[in-house]
Amino acid sequence: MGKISRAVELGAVCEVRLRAGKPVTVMTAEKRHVVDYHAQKDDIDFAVGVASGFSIYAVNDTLIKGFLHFSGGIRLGITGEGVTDGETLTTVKHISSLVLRIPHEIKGSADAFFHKILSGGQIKSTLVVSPPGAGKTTLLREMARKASDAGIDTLILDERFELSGAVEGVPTMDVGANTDVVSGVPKIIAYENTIRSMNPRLIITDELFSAREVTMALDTMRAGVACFASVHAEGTAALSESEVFRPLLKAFTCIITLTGRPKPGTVKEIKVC
Amino acid sequence: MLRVLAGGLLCVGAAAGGVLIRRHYNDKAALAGEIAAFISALKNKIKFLKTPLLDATSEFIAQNEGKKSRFCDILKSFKEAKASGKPFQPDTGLLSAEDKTELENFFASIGKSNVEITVENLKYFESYFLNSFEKRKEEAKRLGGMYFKLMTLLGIALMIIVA
Repeated sequence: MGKISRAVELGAVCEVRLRAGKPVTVMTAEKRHVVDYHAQKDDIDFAVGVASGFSIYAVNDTLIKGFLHFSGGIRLGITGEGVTDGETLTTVKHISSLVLRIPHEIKGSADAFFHKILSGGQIKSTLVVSPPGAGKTTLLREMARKASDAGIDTLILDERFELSGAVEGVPTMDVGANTDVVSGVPKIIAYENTIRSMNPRLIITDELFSAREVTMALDTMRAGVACFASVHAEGTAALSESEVFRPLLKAFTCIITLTGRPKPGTVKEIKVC
Repeated sequence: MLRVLAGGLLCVGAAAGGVLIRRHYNDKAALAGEIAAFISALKNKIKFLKTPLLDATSEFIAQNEGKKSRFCDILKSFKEAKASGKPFQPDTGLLSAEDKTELENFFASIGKSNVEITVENLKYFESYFLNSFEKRKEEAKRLGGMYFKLMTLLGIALMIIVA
């Protein structure tokens, strides 16, 4: 475990997986490592305890969505036994698997193409498309920083605390000098109020997943606010086959497709309309 | 003269013993009262703000800074055990067997469920320890007072016999 801690400190680790009674696995940008240590239920309970402040009631809203967040934008995906009241999931108990996703700031990762997105004070709404683990959030964070530092009033809707790593409302990651963050609120609840109250020029949000979230992004752009967002898909072809996601291809004026090969964050294609 | 001095010392010693016994009963009542106060504050913090357990614990300790509080010492050990991942066993020397079991149940269950269940649990523990506080207060008044008087009388009797 000491080796894992050191690797995490060096910034090499992207992901750590703990499954009760199984070997711990560690993902770096290059490869998957199997550690010679079997995770114990106590290890998982302690990790959940630390992430929740030993207070499940304080994190139950995210727990029932399958994750917990920890300072610095670390996200813990969880699986376990659901507790329902007959209709809805009320909490999760006996957590048996964890995936710790450790965010990275890669400054300069958008330098090569950012002039296509922001030039002459005009911002192009940009959709980042990739399968999970290919670097969408890292790229969105860097794009947020660049747009914000260029003087654009930016609002991040950080439902899962990953984009900004907000702790007690304050970002722990560099998201720019002109950025406001709404964290821990479902984006479809946050966007309407914040467009009115915060008057942003740019809204950034991660992982559009449902039809309502797609509508939210389209509404944002209709309201005259630029939008940077991301969506899970192999590429634009997969999006165009979906009735829900197809409208995004018309509404966003820049579409960046990422791939996890040879390493996360590799830009496969940029389409600018 | 020596007899009078020895009798006086015996009297003072016995009265001091009585004071200690009375303080023991008062401490028992105070501990139950502190537990009830903490649980009541925690219930409100969780119900309205979902304040994490360790934050609520730190606030309670800070509010009682400078006061002699056995329960704050227990809470400090609780925080240390949580931070180190070690099992926690409260130091419950003053409590009755029944109160001890309830306090252990409280620490074992707190923070492990959603808001609704947690608040319901806390209502139970709050009610239990408020009831216990009233009992211990009455016990301190009755038994603590009685032992103090008995010990003082014993001291006077010893003084008379010796002198």
